[in-house]
Amino acid sequence: MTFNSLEFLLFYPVVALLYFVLPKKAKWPMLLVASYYFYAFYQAQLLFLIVATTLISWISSRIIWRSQRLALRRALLALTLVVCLGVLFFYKYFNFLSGSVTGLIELFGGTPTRVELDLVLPVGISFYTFQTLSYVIDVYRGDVEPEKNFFFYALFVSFFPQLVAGPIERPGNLIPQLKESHAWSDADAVKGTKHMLVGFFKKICVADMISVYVNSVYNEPESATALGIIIATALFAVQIYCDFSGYTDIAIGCARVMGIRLMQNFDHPYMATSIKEFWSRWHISLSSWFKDYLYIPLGGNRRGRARAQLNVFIVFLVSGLWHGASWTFVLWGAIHGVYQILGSLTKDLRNRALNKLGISENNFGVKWCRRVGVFLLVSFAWLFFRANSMADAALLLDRLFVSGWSVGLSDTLSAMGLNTYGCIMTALSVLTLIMIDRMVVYGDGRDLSDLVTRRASFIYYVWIVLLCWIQLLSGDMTSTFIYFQF
Amino acid sequence: MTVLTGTLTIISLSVIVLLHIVTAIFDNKISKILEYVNVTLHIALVLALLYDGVPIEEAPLAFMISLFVYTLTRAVSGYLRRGGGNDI
Repeated sequence: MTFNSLEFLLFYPVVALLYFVLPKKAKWPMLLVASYYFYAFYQAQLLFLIVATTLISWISSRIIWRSQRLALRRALLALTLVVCLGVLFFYKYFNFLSGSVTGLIELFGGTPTRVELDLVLPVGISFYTFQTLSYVIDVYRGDVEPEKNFFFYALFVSFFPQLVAGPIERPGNLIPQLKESHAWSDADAVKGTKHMLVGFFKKICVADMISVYVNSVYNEPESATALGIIIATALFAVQIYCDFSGYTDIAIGCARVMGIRLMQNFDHPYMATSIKEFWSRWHISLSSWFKDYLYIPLGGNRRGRARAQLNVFIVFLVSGLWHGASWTFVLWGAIHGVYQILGSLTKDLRNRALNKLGISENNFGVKWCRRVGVFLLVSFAWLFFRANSMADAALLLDRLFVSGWSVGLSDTLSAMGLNTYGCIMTALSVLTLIMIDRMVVYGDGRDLSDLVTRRASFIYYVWIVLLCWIQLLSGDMTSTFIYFQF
Repeated sequence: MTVLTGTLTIISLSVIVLLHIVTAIFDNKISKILEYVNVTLHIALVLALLYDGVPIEEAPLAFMISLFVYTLTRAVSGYLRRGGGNDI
C-alpha cells in the first residue's frame, strides 16, 4: 500500500481511530497487525522475509545479551549480520553480481553462461534490514536492552509509517514510544496532519508533476540536448527531494497523530554550504546509521588523515550500493566520496584564500556562492543516480559536454513537453515549496492561538488537499515513491 | 499560449490574490473578516471554473497561484514581524 493511494486514505483513519479507541493493551497488537497488513497489501508473498528477519534478530539479540562468553557473542553477532545481509544480498544484488561477473569474464574473452534468477525485490528490504541490524549491534554493544516480547519487537521492525522507506529508526527512540499509550492530543493531531499535507503536496503537486519532464529526457538519452539534460537534472534534484522528503513528512505525520515522534530525515539539504553539510541534512537517518555502524567501526578519523579519507570513501561506496544494484548508484556514491575528500583536502586552502581577500567565511555572498556550488555538484551526481544504466549515463555526458549543444532552448523545452503552462506550474510549485519552508521558519507573524487565523490556516490546508486531488484527476495514475525501490 | 482562459476565473483569482495581500499587510479585525471572505471566494473560484467550462488543467494552476500568493505573503509578513517559527 502506498501513501498516495485510495486504499491508504481508507486504511489510515481506521488505524488512527482504533489506536485511540482501543484499551492500552490492545493498541500495539493492533498496530502490529495493521503494519503487516500494510506490507502484505503490497507484497504478501514476501511478508515472510520480514517475519524471518525479525525472528532471527530477536533470538540472537536475546542470546547475545544473556551470554557472558565474548566469543559466542561475537559469533552470534557475525551470524546475524551474515544472515540478514545475506537475505538482502540475495534478493537485491544476486542478479547484479551475476551480470557483473559475466560481463567481466566476457571482457577477457570468455563465454560464460549468465545465471539470472527471477526475483522480486522486496519493498523496503534495505530499510528494515538496517533497522534490524542497528538493534542487534546496539544490544551487542550494551547500548540497548533486548526486548522481551517478540511481538513488540516485531512492531518496532514493521511499524507501518516508516516500514518501506524510513526514517531508519533507532531502538532507543522508537521502542519506548511504542510502549507508551498515547492519548488523543489536539496539538499532535494538527501538527501530524499538517506534516502529512505538506508531504502530499511535495509528492503529488511537485514531484509527480516534475517527473514527466525529467523522464522525457532520461528515458530517451539518445535524443537529449545539453540544455535539456541541464534542466532535467536540476528538476530531478527537486523531484527526488520532494519525493523522498514528502514520503518522510507523511510518515512523520502519520506517527505524530498517534503521538509517536519519528526522527527528522531532512533539514533543508539544498541550503548546505558544503558537501559534508549536505550529508548531515539529507537522509539523516541513513547518514547517521553509516556513521555509527560503518564509519566509526572502520576507525573513523582516529587512524590518521589518509585512513579517515579512505573510510569516508568506503562509506560512500557502500551508501551508493545500498541505494540500488547498479553501477550507476556505485558511481554516484563514489562521486560523493570524492567530493568529500576533495572538500576536506582543500578546506584550509579555500579559507586562506578568503582570508587573503579579506572576506569573512560567513559573508552573505560567500554563503550563497557555496550553496549554488553545492547544488551544482550534487545535481551533477544526480545525473548518474537517475540514469537508467551506465551506457545511458555515458551517452548523457557525451550529449552534455560534446554533441548536444546544437539545439536551442525553445526547441529543448518543446521536446521536453514543457509548454508555458508547464513552466508556470513548475516554477510556482517550487516557489510555493520554498515559501512553505519560509513560513515554517518565520511563522506567519500572527498569534496562532487566535481562532479565526487558525481556522483560516486550517482551511488553506484543506485547499492543499483539494489541489492534490485536482492534480491527481488531471494527471496520470498515482506513482510510487522513488525510494520504494531501495 | 494563454494559460488562464475563463474571464470569471481570472476575476475571482484577481480578487483572491488582492485579498491575500491585504490580509497579510493588515493585522486587525477587518483583515480577519476578509480572510473569511477570501475563503468563501475560493468556493466562488471553483464555481467560476465550472461555469467558465475551462480545461481541467487550469484548475490546479488557479489554486497553485492562490496558494503561492498566500504562502508568499505570509512568509514575507512573518519575516517582517518575526513572529517566530511554526512546527509546520
